[in-house]
Amino acid sequence: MIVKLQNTIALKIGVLLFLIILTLLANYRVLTNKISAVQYSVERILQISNNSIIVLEINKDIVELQRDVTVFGQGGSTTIFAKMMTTHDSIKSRLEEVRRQTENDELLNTIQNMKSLVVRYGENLGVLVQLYQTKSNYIDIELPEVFQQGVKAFNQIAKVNNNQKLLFEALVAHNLWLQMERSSTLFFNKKQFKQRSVVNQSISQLNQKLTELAQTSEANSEVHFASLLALTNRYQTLFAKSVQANRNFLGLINVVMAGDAVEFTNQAKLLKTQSLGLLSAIKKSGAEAVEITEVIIKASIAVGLILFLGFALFFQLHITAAIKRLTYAFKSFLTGDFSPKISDTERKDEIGLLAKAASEFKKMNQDLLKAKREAEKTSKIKTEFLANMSHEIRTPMNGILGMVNLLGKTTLSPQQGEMVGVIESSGQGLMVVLNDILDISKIESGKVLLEQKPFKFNDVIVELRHMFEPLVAEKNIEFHITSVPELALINVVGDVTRLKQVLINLLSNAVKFTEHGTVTLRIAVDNLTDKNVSLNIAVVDTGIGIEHKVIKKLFDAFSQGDTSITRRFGGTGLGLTISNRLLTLMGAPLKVESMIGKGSKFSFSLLLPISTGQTHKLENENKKIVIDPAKRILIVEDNKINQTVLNAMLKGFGFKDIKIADNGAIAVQLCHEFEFDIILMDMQMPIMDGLTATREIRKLINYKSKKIVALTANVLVEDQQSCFDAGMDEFLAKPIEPEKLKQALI
Amino acid sequence: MPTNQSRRKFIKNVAATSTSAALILNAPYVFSRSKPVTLRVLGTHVTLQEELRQQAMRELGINLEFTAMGSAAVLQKAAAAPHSFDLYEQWSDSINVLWHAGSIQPIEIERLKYWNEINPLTKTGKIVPSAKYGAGDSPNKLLYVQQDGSLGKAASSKVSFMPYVHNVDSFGYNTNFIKPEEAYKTESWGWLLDDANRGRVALVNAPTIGIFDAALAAQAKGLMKFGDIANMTIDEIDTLFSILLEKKRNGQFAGFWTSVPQSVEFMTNKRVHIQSMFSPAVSACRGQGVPVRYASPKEGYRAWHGVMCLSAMTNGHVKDAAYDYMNWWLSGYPGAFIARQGYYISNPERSRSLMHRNEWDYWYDGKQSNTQLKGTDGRVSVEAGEIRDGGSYVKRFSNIAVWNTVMDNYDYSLDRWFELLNA
Repeated sequence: MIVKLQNTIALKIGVLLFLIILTLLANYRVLTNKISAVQYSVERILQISNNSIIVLEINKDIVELQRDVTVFGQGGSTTIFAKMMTTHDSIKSRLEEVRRQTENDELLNTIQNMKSLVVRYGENLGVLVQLYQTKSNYIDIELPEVFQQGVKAFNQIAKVNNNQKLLFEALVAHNLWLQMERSSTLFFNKKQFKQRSVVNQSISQLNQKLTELAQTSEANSEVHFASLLALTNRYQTLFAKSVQANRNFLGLINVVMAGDAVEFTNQAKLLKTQSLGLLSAIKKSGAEAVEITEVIIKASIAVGLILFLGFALFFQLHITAAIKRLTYAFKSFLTGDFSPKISDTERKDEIGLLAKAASEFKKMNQDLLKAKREAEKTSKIKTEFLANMSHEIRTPMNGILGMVNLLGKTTLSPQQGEMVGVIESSGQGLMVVLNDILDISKIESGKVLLEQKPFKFNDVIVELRHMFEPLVAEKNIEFHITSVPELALINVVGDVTRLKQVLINLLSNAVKFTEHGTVTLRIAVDNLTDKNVSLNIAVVDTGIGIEHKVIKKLFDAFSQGDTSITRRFGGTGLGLTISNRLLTLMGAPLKVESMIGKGSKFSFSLLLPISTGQTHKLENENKKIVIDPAKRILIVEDNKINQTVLNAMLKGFGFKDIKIADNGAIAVQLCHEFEFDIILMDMQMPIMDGLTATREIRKLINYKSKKIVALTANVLVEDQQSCFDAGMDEFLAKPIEPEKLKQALI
Repeated sequence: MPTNQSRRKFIKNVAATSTSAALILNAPYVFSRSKPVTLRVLGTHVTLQEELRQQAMRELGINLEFTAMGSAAVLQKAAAAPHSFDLYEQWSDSINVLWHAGSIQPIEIERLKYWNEINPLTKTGKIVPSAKYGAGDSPNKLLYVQQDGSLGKAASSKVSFMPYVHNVDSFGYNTNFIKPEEAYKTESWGWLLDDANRGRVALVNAPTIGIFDAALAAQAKGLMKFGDIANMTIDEIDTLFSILLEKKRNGQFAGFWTSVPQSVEFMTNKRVHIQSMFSPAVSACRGQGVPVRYASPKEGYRAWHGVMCLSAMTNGHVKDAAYDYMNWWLSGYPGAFIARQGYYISNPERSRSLMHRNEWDYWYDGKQSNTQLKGTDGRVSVEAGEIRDGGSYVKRFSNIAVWNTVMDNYDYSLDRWFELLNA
């Protein structure tokens, strides 16, 4: 997972955002919790307040109930009892209501106690009626009944008897009887508790008296007295029962029910205290919750801000900054500066990828740079090799051609003359090949710089005509040059030498590969403005033609269609390649159309600017060359053969005063000693080379403006420039051509 | 309730059937073959305990239904509705009430298997000859059914109740709040009315019991003096209640409890620190980790004697089952059981063999227990090394101040008591 996280910026951002959202959600949850807690507290408070009011009402009811019980006790009114039952039911239902609305365990416990008390009270209420009735039965019915029976009995005795003594005693007993009843009534109804003992006293006295009377009286009264005794006993029993029933009743009210009511009140008080406590606790917890909520809100805002800042910071540092770094790096890359360091490559996310790509890019460029430098080095090596080779080859060739030329000027037998002819033509042929090779090498290494000098196109046409008319005459083919008359009037700017080279190559090929028919050089003007002219030049022949698949290979170096061509027609095969390269440099790539057996067409479209200046005279214009043989010449050349050749050439021109220096140092020395008019300076010599020697010589006062001609195998433009920079006036390419030498010696 | 004449007849009949009764007594297995009899016992939490019920049912093969309530309520119900119970268990102060209400019938001594093992406390009122008589209705005064149908101490062949459980009560106090003092020397009933304990005192809501606790307290504090504390005059009652009412108005009392479990709650909730208490409540509190000490006041104990009475309405098979149950109570197991709650049984030697020596030492002999003792709830109620408050059985019962009694002026006290409750 961590790996995956490192891999994607989106994932990182996603995770951070997710964390932020989580925090927000957690906050939300906590807040809603707290708020619902507060809400709950408020509800509970309301509930408890409600309950408290109900409990107050219940208390009131209990007090009323107790009062009603007392009232009932006095009269036994059924109305009162009904009211009591109603009140009791009301208490029960109210208590149940409170119970339903209570959640707290402590309170519920108290309420449960109260409930049991109420239930018991209710049960006792039921018993109360019963007890009241029992009591009432004894006290209000049975006891008075017995009393009445007693009274009747006493009255009876009074009626039946005449014995005064008996009557008197009976009266005493009667009195006691009344007293007993009165005391009983006082005891029960007036709550004169002392009367109870009076009742018992009366009863025992009655018992005594009546027993006496029963024993002493006559038979007719005995029965009365016996029944009175029985009644007394019965009264006694009833009285005891009444007392007990009364006690039971009072006990129930005064002790049991009162106890329960008092305890109920106590529990109600406890409930109130507990409720208040709970209220206080709820209030406290509510306040706490509010406080906490406040804190949480503040904290969450702070945390949110911090998180957000953190997020922004993270985004900035981790992503934006990295992107900026990469952008800066690429900006530098665009300007070619590959130096900036690429950071963040070890990251595994998109930026890491980009950084790695940038790093690769940088590396690639550095590699390319290295490769370029390598190539340049190789090219430089190649150029130097070229230069060396050029020099190494041209120098002996110079010797061969020079000597052969000189030899040809001597008296030779016809056989010798033939031999010399062959040697000379072979040598020249070899020079052609050599020049081609050196040319293509120059072109391949990009060392060719096109000249931009004004010339007359027509002059080129004229020269070509002169060159090829004899050749085509030999082969019995026709040669045409078609042109436009406007061309005769305009001067164009370009590299006339190389253009000629191309045209010569194309025409040579055309002639070479055509057995019969025509070779045509067609020059057409596509567009002519006052700034430039667009020419369409084509060389058309009716030769053997070229196969299609061969055409492509044609332009590659060292190939010539097929090897049979080479054998049939000779040549290095470089000519077309060189022509094509040169034309491509001119911006006019070569186009080929051909058909086997029918012929070929080589064409190109050349855009040449129109010159306003004077045309450069062609080198080949015949000019009268006048030399002064009296001039003193110094030859500076290390190669013995070349020394000989030059010497002979100069002597052939008529020069007499010729000195030779083996190297630049000797040359300088000789310049100190002697005065020369023209110095022919070779370039590459041991001890001191041509350039250095030239610079030294030019330091001498009398050699400031003397002609120094460079003899060089190096034909590269920069070498030419070096010559002129060193102070040389002209340069001649080896192998030295006598005509060119002559021109330099003017 | 039969009159004198019919009672005589009754006794004659009983004598005639005594052999058959004895036969039946000695063959309880007869009942297990027939449909089990249901015996309804009405009483208080003191003796109506579930373990005893289960044990009795197992041993006797009868179905027992217990109805336990507060003492006042129980007495009340029994007096009013004798058809609602077969056996009644409470204490001696209810005998007069029930007897005169005609709710109970005499019990034949012949049918009580262990009558001869019952010690002299119930039969004479003194545990040992050197003991003092306590004021009030000592059990012997209520025991024997006299010729004239009243109850008295003259021996006869019938008794109004079977003696079994008895104890001396005082007050319990939480030693975490009240410093424990010396038994018989400095512990005093007067503490109940001490201002130091204001708001933390409770009394039992039973005028035949609670009033004596209050009276002993008032007398101990020197607030008044009684002629016969067990038979207060109306004036004495007035004086007592004026003292009590003043105390109540000053907030002396935190409440009045009506049942044993409630009294335990009062103490464990710390609603009270000192209160009238019964012995099992003290054990229960101790078992719950509340260090209640049962005082041995220098003024003497308030004694009570449990009574097991036969309902006047109970006859036939049910009556036989009732006798079985009564005899079972004195057969050893119940005695040992309740001893662990601090109660004494009227024939302790029979239960001795079922008690561990340490238990006997502690509960009956007033000696130190060598080990922890557990109560019947399985909790530790006595730590090793403790001595029972008040000492031995004999010593305790030699120091009775008053017996629970229904005074002559009981009715008056009822009214005043009501006043006290509502004050």
